[in-house]
Amino acid sequence: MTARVPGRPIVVVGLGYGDESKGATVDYLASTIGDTAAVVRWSGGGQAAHNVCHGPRHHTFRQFGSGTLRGVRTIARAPMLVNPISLATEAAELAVLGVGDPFGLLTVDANALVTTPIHVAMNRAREIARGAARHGSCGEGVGETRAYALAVGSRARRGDSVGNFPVHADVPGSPALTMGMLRSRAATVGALDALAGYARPLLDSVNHPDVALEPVETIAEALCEIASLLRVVDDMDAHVDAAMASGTVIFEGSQGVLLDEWYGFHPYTTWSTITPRQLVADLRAAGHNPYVLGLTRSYATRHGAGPMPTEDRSLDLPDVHNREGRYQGAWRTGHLDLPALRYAIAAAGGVDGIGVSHLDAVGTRELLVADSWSGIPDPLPLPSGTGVGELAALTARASAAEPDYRDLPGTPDGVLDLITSATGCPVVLAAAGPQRTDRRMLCPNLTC
Amino acid sequence: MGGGYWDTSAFDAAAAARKAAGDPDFGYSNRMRNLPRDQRTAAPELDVFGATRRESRDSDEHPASTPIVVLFDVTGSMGMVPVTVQKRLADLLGLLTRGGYTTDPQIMIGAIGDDQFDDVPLQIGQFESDNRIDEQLRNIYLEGGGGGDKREGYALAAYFLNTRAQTDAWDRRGRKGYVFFIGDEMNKPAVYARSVRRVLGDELTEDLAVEQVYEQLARRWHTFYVLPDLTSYYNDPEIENHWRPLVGERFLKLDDPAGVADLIALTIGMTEDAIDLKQGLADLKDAGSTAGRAVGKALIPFADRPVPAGGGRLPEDL
Repeated sequence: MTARVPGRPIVVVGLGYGDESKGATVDYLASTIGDTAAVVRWSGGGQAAHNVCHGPRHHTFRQFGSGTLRGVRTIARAPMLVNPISLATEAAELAVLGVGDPFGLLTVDANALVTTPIHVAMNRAREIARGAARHGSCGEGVGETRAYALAVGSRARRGDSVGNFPVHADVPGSPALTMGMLRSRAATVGALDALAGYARPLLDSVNHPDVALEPVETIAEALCEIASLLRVVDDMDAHVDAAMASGTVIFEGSQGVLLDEWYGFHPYTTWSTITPRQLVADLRAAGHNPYVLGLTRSYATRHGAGPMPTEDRSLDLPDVHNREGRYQGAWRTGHLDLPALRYAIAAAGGVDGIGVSHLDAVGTRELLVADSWSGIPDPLPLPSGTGVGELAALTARASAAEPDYRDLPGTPDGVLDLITSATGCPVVLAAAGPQRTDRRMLCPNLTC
Repeated sequence: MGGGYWDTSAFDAAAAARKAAGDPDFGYSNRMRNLPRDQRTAAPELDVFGATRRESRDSDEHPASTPIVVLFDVTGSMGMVPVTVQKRLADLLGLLTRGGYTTDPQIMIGAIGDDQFDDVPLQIGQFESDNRIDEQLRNIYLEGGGGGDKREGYALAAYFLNTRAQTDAWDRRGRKGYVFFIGDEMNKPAVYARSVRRVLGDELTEDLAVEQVYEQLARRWHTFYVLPDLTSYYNDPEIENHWRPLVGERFLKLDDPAGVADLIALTIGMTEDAIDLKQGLADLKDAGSTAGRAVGKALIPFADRPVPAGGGRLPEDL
């Protein structure tokens, strides 16, 4: 825990299973911190759903940074995955909200992997085949994009597996599609052809209209045109450095640490590194001193399948922006889970401050808080972060958890004090509603 | 979550946003967006900080100048309308001169934001009677801000005109000019002294009442408020209830934002008694305008207004 000096980059990271108000927080920070220069997306892909509400305007940010309504530009840095077609849709929505030339706000890493309609179809085919045993995937092809690139990199053969994905055909020799390759139509068509050939057996095994494919040429044309509308840069580190030299840069995380591929409850995780460990190490190595802001709600939520120790089906906490997803599964709510929160902070590599949202629910329901599981305050050992083998024990422990409850304090201030004392981290930001104007900084510009 | 975009039809649906990419009308705004927020400024010819006057003067070429001020709200609640207005206002000078609606029009354009929350809450150009208007329109920074309180800094712009605008039309001929506000929200509760100091640089110590500022404005200007559709509060009665006491029958609701220049031109022509509504609409039709219906509808209440003298109708207070 250190104070943030002006201009210091801010890394925003969710400390739950997602839906911790990352979007609203980034919008608020970009509005409040005068020298905000850019928002960097650095993880996940098009499956993010970061809600920003300001006055009559609402937008669910997927790939654009959540400072967009405030006119703050977006930098998409690998390993974030880019889905150009959903990017175009999002740009159209933003234009209607009064964002002029939305593509002009985007700079994208040439090394970023591209999610295509073929990946999306593969994702849906796999979830349809899993039936009731779904993994809570968003159906946006993010895992498929990562898995295919890994399979190509390791020259996987039919019958191998990549992560928990069985490889259903020999992987082609041509590289996975990146944003830089979209500068060349020939390279794009080549990469898409190889991918479509690889996808075919999987798609054919599922007879479903959701997995029909358009011709590769049609897809290539759309992808290449979109890439030509935005700025694709080869030296992303230099680009981000230049932004940091000009003002405050906000690094907007996606999803929550408890879904991280190396620290989450495998296999109910995402194909993405959510913890900011690598990002923070990179920034420090480049001479920066990032401020890590962790986020939590005043209660627990989880969208889709997987362990959720404090889930309480009798709680009636509807969410305006979250509904049951066709591929993702149910919207679930539960009580504040301090062992999980402390674990998330440790998995994140520590945080400098915490933001707490949804404080408007406090006092309106019989909310509880879990101090420990079966008498143990910190039951989850931190994995080494190098493989999924040791995650099985973690998942087993979370699945069998018996939380020890007491009443949650009945006032927002009481909840903030509780979180500070339970984590040893200061609460620096508090939100009692979805709007920008519902948020307050407990110390100006996070400099306390 | 996210959308559900798994084929290229979604891409086809984004045609408008794709077309906007690299639009030169957006050049200045794009330059600003590449700077940290607190380094963003108005273009020099639109900058109001420290500005002492904006002059509309007669000349040999334009001996009977008519000053016209068009100020549009560029906050986020306006949606895509500011972009439409920015494009369409370039037609205004031609509409006025071709139709002979008034003598020697001199147009000053400007943009209004939120003086409590925005980086560039007020931009006001210069009175021009040639294509420098287009240049200033392109240089407007479309900030897209706003405080989320359904109120913007319109009255700060009115204060600016009260304290800075100098017109030969008034000084030499005692003729009022025209001010059009294009927006969808209400005034802030007051003209804040803090805002006047921050945005204009005046040493004001006390807030000013909004009513008083508009009363003063009305002495030298015919003041109109245009509420276009496709904004956030088009159907919110609170907006009309707020503006009616300030501008009376000069509160105009416009169904089609693309007709904004047509509406302003006809309004001026009718006020100057150069045309009646029917004739103005015929002119629009001849010029190929597609907004005639919306403009006609917007102007019905204004066309039916009691005309003080010479209009064949007695004033209401007689």
